[in-house]
Amino acid sequence: MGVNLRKINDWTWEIPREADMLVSGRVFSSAALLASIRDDLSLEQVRNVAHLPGIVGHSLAMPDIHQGYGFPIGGVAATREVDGVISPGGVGYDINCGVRLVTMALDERDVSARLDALVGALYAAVPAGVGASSGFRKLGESELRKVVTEGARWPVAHGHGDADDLLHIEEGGCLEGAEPDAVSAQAYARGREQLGSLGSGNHFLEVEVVDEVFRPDVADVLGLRKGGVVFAIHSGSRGLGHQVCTDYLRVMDRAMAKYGITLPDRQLACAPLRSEEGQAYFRAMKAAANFAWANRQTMTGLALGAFERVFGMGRGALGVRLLYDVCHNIAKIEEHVVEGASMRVCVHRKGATRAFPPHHPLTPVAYREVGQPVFIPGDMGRCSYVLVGQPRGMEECFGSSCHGAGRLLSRQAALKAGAGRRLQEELLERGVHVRARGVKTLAEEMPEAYKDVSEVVSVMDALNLTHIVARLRPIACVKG
Amino acid sequence: MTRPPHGAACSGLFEAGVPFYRPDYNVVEHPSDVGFELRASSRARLFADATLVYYDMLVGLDRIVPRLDRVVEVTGLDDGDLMVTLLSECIILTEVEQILFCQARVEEIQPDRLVLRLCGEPVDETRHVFELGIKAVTYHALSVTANADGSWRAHVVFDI
Repeated sequence: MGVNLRKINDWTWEIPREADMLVSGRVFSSAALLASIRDDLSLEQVRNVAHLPGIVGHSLAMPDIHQGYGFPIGGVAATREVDGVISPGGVGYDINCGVRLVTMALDERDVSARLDALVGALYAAVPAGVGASSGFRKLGESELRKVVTEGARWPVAHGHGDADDLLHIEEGGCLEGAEPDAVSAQAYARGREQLGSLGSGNHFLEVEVVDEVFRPDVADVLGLRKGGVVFAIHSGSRGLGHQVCTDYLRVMDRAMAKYGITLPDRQLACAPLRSEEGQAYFRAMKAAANFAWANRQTMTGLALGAFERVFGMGRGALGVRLLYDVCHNIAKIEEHVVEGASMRVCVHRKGATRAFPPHHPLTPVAYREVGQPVFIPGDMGRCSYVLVGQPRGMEECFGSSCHGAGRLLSRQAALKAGAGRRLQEELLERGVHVRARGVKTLAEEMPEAYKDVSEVVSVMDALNLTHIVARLRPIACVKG
Repeated sequence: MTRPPHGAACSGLFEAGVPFYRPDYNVVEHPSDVGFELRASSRARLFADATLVYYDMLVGLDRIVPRLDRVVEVTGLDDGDLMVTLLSECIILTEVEQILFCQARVEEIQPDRLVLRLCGEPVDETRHVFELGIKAVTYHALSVTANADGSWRAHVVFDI
């Protein structure tokens, strides 16, 4: 069954409220992107999300939207804190999957001759791939309980990074209110050997060059200069986060009848935020989010060790600085204006990034004048972007942004398209040194499998939801 | 590769010499993930075969040797919930205990409970190449249904 779309302007489309929908849907997209969005079930999923009890505003879709399960990937939904629900499917399995970007004093000419050695050193330093074991050491449950409570502070206290890093991570790298007891023994078991590991799928380590600066005044504040080398990590909470989601989907599936909730997709299972089940999930989700920040912080330390070995320079000489770290699978209680009144809401961002504007109290002090940085990975052959949040985003989409390019081909279709091709060599010809652990990863993740990220971020910029600051070009990439 | 006879050192799920058993399934495409459509002769066989599909998609059933067995017991609200819970247990066994299975037999089955005996071996990285990183089992588009002829069918999507 198709979904009716009403054009509001060139980049905004409405799914009218009908039947049991509690709000309308709103899709931010160009006409070109919309053609591929219509190819899958993502618009149906936007419509399904509009059935969540307590949802306010609109069921929102960012321009990188593609089909997920329950929620679309690239979906945003805010529910009233007082009587709305929280849905594990609205956060996703990889809780606090996110991206961080590290700037360096190196220029492209400093690294270009040693990229092969660098990608090899990164590949060796950071465990990657299916079931990859920890780059730290096997942790006991008592240590893991500290990790999920302290987040990025834990690896900083254990020698990976310094206190200044914490100022440049969303929420300071730690969501308060995490409850270690809300995390199951199975989740701890899955996480005990995974701290400091990349995982598989679309996760990556990437060395990039600032290829183009679009807003030089903002780029200056962020520490980005044309030709400068930056380093990005995309990863999340590994098996621990997946198990938390699995455990609480089961809890919510049982709670639905108790609270008289019926929804069009079982994967949207939810419970009132203030219920026992809702609070237990929220505390466990925060714990998994903290594990993810600790994971990215640990991997940063491991990766920077590789840079130090390859270039024979210490962290100080390399001019290393964590620009920022954002999560794009999360639920948070935030204050937003809804229909003219300030309201506390639970904002679910599933494949969407917080993007707060200049002068917002939660925008880091260092970026208070320019807005919160947002990182939008594209694909390993083309480019990625740095954006900053804008006031319009607070009005239109609860201060949210897209999170990536969005898949264009299914993994199976990508494998077929990549059959017989020498993708590693093709990417090298484009100036990108790539190493991948998985036998199929390169094909599944090849550039053609993704939408054009430039088109995606241009929608956000045209609507003034976020502003484009710089474009980044990949030169080395490690995939799981 | 040469396979030892089934049940050689396991606790006898199959007699030695039984031909290699492969479940009747096909991989289903999902835009960002992957799933399977499975057909089986009975409800019990459907659940047993679903675990084999998971291991087949993970490393290939023909690469796993039956050396040890494990009993898995799960409960669920309905057949779909039983399926998700059962396969989620398999993921934990793979990730935490590093064991892969190639044979499965239902020992007890009720509307809301399932006891399954699995036979397989510990992960051997020299022989087991992980084709997929299956991280979770979703409720999305999940179905477990009986056909009019008494056979059964399941549709499952994994998060990878």
